[in-house]
Amino acid sequence: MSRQLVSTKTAFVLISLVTMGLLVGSALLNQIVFKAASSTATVYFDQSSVQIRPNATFNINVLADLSAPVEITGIQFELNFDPKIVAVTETEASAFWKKVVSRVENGKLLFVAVPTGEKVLVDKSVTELKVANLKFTGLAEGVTNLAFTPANSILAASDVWNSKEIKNIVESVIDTRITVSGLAPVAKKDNLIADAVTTQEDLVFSSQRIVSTSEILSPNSAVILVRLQQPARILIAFGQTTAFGNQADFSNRTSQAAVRIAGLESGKRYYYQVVAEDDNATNKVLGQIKSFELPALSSSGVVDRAELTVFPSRAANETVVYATFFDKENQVVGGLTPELQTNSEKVSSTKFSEVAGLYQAVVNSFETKKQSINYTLLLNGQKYATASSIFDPSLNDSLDGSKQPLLNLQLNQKLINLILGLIAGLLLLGIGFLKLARAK
Amino acid sequence: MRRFKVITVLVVVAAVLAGYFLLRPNLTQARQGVIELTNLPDQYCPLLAETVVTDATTKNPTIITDRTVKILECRYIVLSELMDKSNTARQIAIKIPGALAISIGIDSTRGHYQYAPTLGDVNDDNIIDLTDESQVSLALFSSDPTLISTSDLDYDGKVSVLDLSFTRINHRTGINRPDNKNWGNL
Repeated sequence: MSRQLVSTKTAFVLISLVTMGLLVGSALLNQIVFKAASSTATVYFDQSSVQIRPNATFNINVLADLSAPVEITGIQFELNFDPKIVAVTETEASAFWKKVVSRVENGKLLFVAVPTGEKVLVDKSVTELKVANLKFTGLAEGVTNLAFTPANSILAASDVWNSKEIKNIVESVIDTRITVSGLAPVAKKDNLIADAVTTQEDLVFSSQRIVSTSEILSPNSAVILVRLQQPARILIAFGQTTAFGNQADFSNRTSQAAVRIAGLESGKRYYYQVVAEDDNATNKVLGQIKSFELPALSSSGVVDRAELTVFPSRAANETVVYATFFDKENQVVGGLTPELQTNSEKVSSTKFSEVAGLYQAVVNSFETKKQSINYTLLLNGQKYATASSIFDPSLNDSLDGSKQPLLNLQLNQKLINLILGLIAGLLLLGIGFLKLARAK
Repeated sequence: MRRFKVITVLVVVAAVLAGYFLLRPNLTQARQGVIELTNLPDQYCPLLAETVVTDATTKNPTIITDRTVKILECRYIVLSELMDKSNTARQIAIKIPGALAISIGIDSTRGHYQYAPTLGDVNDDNIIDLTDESQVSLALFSSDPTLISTSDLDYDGKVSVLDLSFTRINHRTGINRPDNKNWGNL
């Protein structure tokens, strides 16, 4: 007995402490895991503010961000606005949904939609899930909020697959503001078509979203900047009508791409649509049909202003800076020698190269940590525009989408209890055998 | 010998601990002698349940009791109110408002039994179908107390897409009463 390392009393104290630790740990684990597993939603609009002219119409999408996988069984919202300033002209449920209620009562839009099937499966957390498309018309000058009534904003959903338990997962709503004014710019996008998916199987591709599209224009070309939710093959259908007829693509699988369309006619209007395709080209997400009018080349050559765009604005270690100079008539000025200035010594940039009034330079980062860079566009020593971007080396892994987690366990309470039970058992057995071995 | 005693105690404690963690969900459900209604909306609070108790041991079950009983704390049907205290196996058919009727087999009035009612039976005809769906659709956003009282399945005081969802995802029929009569309206 003299060789015994710990006394029986000490062993029991240790066991008691381990047991207490496991009990407390188990309680904490349950709290943490189950809080994280339940999905919540934020409902908001795709535009944080809208400016329109009286009698003009505009489209606005109602979107939802979901924090975890869910089965959605219905959506409902009550939207308040000033009926003297705007009127609802049309409402539309998104693809694979059908409207059940859409009526306006005393400055409130009451909207309910349900899936065309029983439910819509969202198998991972998503942002910008389109809920509905609303069309408004400006009636009289003034400002009004499009405000959700929180108590009547409902995303009916179930966290557990095939569960009969349905609850409202909306945690917050974000309103938007509409200004109707004769001074508002004329809306360019008068032909918006809702994002759509082509088949039911696309819902597996459902977390894919076209996050943003914008364009940089020069007299004979356009660069379409596309950001996707997830990496995919990006195609741009374009043409002088909404029938398109031409296609440009970015063959690498990526979540952000600058697709250049050359050989266009100056002064003409072009329509385009971004298409995100999966690897097999079986699932597609179609973007809104957008349009742009190409500017003419300046004859005066006198620079009035400049635009500076950095894309991607978040990159691992390389980004491209685009600059365009305009005269007072908004025509593009070419033949210049602009310079780019940055606020960091840990980046290098190439000189601007010009293609018909569009200047571009490549910027590389040598910093191994995340850094924010400010860019200043100079012409003959004069500052014309500024922009900023972030270099984050950790994006290398996430942007190509090729690296998947090795193990993706979905823990439930039973599994956690089993694991904890086994750990507790093994731990105590281990202590017992250790003591036995030492005693021998 | 003493060290072997210690080891034995350790093994027993380990086994108890492992058992505790494995069985903990059941240990927390302490209430005995009840049928607990689970997986329901928080505010759902039926007051009465129509119950028919039959003999589970015979091929042609005979009705032992046919009672409307109170639902305790919105969630519990007390077994002693349905039948005499005994450990004989019984089959209990239950219908609660807004839900389909189901049948539960029990073997003791002292046990703890659970079931998740299937909500969506707005007109209480024991079938959830398009009729229920239409009734809720018409009552959406309504402030009419009569419409709300009939279509508010989750008892939250309004008719919303949550109520509509129950009528859409649960299209099916509940079990018949053992005597094949219609379930009465509670």
